[in-house]
Amino acid sequence: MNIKHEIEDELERCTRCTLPITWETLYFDNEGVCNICRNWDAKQKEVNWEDREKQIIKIFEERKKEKASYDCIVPFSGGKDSTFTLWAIVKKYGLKPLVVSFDHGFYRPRTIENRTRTFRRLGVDVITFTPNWQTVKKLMLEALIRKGDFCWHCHAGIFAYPMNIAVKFEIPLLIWGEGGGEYEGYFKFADLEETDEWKFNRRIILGMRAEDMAGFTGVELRDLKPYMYPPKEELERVGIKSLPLGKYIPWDVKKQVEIIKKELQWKEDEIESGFPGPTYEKIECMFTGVRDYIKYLKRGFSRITHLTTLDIKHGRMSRAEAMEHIKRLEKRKPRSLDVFLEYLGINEEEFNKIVLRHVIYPAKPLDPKTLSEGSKLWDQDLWFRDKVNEEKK
Amino acid sequence: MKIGIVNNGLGNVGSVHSAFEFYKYDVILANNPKDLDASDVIVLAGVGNFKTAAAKLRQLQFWNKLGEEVIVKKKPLLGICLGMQLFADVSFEGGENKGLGWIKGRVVKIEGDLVKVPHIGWDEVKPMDEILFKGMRYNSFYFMHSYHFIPEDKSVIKAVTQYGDLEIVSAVRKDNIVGVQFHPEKSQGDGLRLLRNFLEMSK
Amino acid sequence: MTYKRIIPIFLLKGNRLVKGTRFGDFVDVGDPLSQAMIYDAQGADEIIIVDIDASGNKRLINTDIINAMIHKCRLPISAGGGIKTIEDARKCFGAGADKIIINTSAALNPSLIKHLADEFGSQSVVVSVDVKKSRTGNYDVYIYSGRQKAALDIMEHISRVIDYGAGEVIVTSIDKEGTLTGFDYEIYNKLKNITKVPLIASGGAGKYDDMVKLFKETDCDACAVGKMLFLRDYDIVKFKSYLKGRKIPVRDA
Repeated sequence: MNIKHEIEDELERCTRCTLPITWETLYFDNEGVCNICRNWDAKQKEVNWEDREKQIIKIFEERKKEKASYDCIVPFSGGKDSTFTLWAIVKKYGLKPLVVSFDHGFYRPRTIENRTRTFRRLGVDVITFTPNWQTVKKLMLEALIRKGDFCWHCHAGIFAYPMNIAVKFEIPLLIWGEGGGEYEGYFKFADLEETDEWKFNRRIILGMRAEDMAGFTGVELRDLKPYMYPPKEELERVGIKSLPLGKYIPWDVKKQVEIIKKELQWKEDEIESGFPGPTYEKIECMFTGVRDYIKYLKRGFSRITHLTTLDIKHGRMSRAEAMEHIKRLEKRKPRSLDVFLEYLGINEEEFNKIVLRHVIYPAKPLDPKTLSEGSKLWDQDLWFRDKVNEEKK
Repeated sequence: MKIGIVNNGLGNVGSVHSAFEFYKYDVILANNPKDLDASDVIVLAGVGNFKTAAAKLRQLQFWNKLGEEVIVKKKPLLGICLGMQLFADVSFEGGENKGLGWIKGRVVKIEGDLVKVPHIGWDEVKPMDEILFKGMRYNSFYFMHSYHFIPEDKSVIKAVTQYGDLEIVSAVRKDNIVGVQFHPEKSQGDGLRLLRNFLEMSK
Repeated sequence: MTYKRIIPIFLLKGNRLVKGTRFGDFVDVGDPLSQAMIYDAQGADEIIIVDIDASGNKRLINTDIINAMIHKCRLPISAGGGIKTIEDARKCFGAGADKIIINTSAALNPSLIKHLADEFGSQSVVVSVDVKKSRTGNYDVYIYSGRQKAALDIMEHISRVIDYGAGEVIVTSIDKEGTLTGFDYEIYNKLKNITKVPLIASGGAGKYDDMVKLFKETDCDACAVGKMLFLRDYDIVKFKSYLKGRKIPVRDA
């Protein structure tokens, strides 16, 4: 087959960063440059970062004066962004955080190691919440069927659970990692948007709140509390400010990864859908490969595009080089799919049928059987498999 | 600061009420004219027919009371949609009907070769008042009307909106009286900001 | 220039929203208040909510649901379902609806439109018309949520409702509804010359380019979207970004 007929060549892509038209919220101007690149330009020029950092330091200093049990909450997964944020909060800004972690159920061995090391070295109190697995399974399948995206429980939980803890412990300051705007067009950099329910409803929960999910899955609403944003009245009572650090300091991921590697011996890991070798991107979830695979089936592009986009923006790669990598590496099926299907209790045929219902035009449905499998992650055999599932086979 | 919303039984005041509540303001629905005594700021909102609305305001004794509170006592007032049109001397909706006469001018039917009537939907507003439109993100607001206000004194015009070949006056301001043709209570973020700006300038 | 509107259309069945295909095969697509809050945050231009069983069951849409939406959302809401009298309409407005929608009543009793327009103003009265293409290629009008064919000529019916004071007309293609196969562009083009009021297209939106085509090739002012939002991976922000890139005037929000 001639390479020109392959899906990635048919998509309209940004003349600068290669992002294709099937990327969420993307559009091009008359020069064929995408809105995310333009937004990036704005970030470079318009934002007075010195001023921004002063703003947040002022908030920190005022909070410290109160001498409360905790100065703030840092929502935490153990990935590069939340690890950097936690490091900065403790070491750079001198706050005493309560670390709140919503366990999505798919931490990998190295993530657990990274988390433990970070907590111990920084000396922080941690609350890790593990949601009911039977509920998680139902939520994942429901979201996959309805939106072709199984990550609802993780996104909703990661966002809402720390807010609930903030209300419960009356800790009025939450510091998140990156602000929106770098990867997508939901928010503009010029905006100083607080991380509030509006954003939760707009962006995080795939058009389905817990009230909707309760009806879909038959799960009682009280069992979905960890996925519900606290009511406005409660947030106002505690006077909660929920802020992304990435809106107050320039967010340079590569530099930040260097910092956490040096200061915390944070370790990279390999992922299935990226470049070979260790990386810092999305290593905190077993199913990054499956997520990216679904994206490829739906949108005709995947993580390699995403990664090279950032490299182009930072001047580390040419567009031609990026396209080369995209063609060579992107079209692959992850070995972790078997584990994923076992967890969800569906077979591959059912999975394909669901996902192919969600192809985003102008991407074209392709036959997943034609894709070759990638190589197995070093830790996949260490992942928890329930004996019950084994016996069923 | 207490906000009194005139409840003339016509307009959709529930939305206006809840929009002000969003900012935790002290809001009351004024069901009879006396309720306005305790208000520091008055909101006159409404959609529908000019003639019916004017008749209702008279019937409920709001007509003279509004003059007293707004013209004599100089309480700040925000007129929304039909509420703004009522500022005029006269409207030609449902015959020729007298308005409150607070701002000289007339209310006429939207007419033009290129436009559909009613004018319904979100439209761009060109602001000519820095305080009322302070901090707006997009300056687009929701309109739903078939008639529009043409003030005589152009200096009261604080925003305009191009609708086909027609330029519609979308905001007016004269002393303590502010009017908008669109519905800030229905216009998401910018709408809420406009309501807040109005209250800020009324302090 | 007035922006083209993107309107999520909510079909209410009991206390939940449903979505089907060609007015049947309904599945649960969520809680009305929850969904309204989501689309408000995404920057939808309006919301339409219609109780699809109200007319058939001779009752009015549950106005408490409208009222709850009004208190949590900051966008215009049009409500319909079982409105037969001025009093029914007043209840909906009283609950906070910005516009009321009539469908079956507009066909059975067109003079109601006139009374509603006189009382509440044309801008608040929306007439909804459900159409189906017959084997001969003509369009038939259906009432009672598509369950009964009305003996009406579509062009005459729509001209009449506009003359009586409808401020907006929403035309739904039963053949296209829930199929994700694109709008019935033909009917909207046919209506071009008689709709002096804003026209809303409904039924068939399945991909971004369907909306582009609708707004480029017809005179429609707005489009209603259902299944594409509820049961596919799209949202209003994605719609508007794409339409903007295709030079369709849509509102940033």
